[in-house]
Amino acid sequence: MRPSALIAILALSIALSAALVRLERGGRVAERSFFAMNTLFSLRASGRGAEGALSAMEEEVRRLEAMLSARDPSSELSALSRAAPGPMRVSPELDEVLRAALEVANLSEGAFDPTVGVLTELWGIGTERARVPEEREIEEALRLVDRRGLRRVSEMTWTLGVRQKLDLGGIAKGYCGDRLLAMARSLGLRWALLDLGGNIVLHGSPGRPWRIGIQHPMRGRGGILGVLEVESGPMAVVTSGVYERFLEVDGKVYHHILDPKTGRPAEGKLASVTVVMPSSTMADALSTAFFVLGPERSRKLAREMGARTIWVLEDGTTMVDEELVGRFELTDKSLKVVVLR
Amino acid sequence: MKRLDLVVAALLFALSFPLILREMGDPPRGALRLSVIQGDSRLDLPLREGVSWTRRIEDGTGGYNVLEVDGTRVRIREANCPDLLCVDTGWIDRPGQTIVCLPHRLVVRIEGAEGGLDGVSR
Repeated sequence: MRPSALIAILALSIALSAALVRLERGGRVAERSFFAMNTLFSLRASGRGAEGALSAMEEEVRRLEAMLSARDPSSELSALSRAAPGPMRVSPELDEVLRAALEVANLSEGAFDPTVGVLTELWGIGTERARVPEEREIEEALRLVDRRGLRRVSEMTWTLGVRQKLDLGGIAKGYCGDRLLAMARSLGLRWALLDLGGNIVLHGSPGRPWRIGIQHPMRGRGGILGVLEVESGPMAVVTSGVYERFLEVDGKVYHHILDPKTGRPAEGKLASVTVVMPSSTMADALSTAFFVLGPERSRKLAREMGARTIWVLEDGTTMVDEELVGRFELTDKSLKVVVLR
Repeated sequence: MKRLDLVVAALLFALSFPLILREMGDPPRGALRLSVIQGDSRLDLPLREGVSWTRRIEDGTGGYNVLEVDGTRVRIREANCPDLLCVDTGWIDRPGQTIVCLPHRLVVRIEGAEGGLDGVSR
């Protein structure tokens, strides 16, 4: 065979292989980043029609945001707070989130509570009017924080205690993640990596395990505590920590995770908790509940819900569920690791 | 075409697969890249050892962030946003790491390279 023929065959082979591989993989990787729900959404996916799928996902996020925002007075959620005591008939989406929120509220005995609206508004952490309220104001607000005020009286119809306010900040992004996962499945995407303001939601796999970094709670936003490998989706990796949004007054730091029982930022010598489980909605709400409850009191609920956890205490001690051992690699070797059995 | 030619052609075809698979492995591998996203506009730039530069990014309403690239690490050196969370983030140098400035709707992200991160839970 002549050298020129060899080169021609090689070139043809490469082109053909590339085409076949591309066909099998369902096209190139699509990416989309946008701001919604007061944070950054970064979506990445592969599969046929991935570009269109991400565009549809952005639309879905905007639709859900308009429904579930506690800050937007025109949202359906705000309307329900205003209509208290109601009853008010809600959309199937709001009905689904409220049911999930109430379930976690009951399971966690109020450590997560969707009726904290008055309290979060009072502190305003993460907004320009953030301040440390007076004791009297906190006491007053606490009277309006009670999950028993939120009730589903009939199919898709809810009532809420007078003057109570709902805040789904601890669950709305999680719910959004499950909606996007369902879209990724139904649209037949090969894989999708959905970053909802730091909540990581995975669909499928790129042909190797996913490598998800966990934010280091004591370092700046770029700092990584360790790397978690996830074989394949559906899986959500959600972290709640003291570093994300906080208020600093006279050298004292007030973080944004409020304890619905005390009306103040949760105090449990914790820096962060990461929850790993297939349901994004549950992972989101449970990460807030677990942060308030602490590792000891969370253990039973985590078992029951099939949630895997990684805890970082204020002193840097890192506690990892034994089910995650071998899949979680601590990159900050200066920290002490304890395996939770 | 001789029988041997056919064998050679088949062999070359089979050999080209691993080559292509390596090149097309996804998510994208290879050199480090920097993505700068502001609102709807996006800029992708290569990150190389030994190449350093600084750029002031304006948001069009008086807001600015000063982006500093030092080889393969990146930070926001200065900004006039109210919370300065972007500046507090400090240097980032691993794929998957992100600096976000919510008030100025700015995202700076490192992409690419095998062994990097797909995302960061926070």
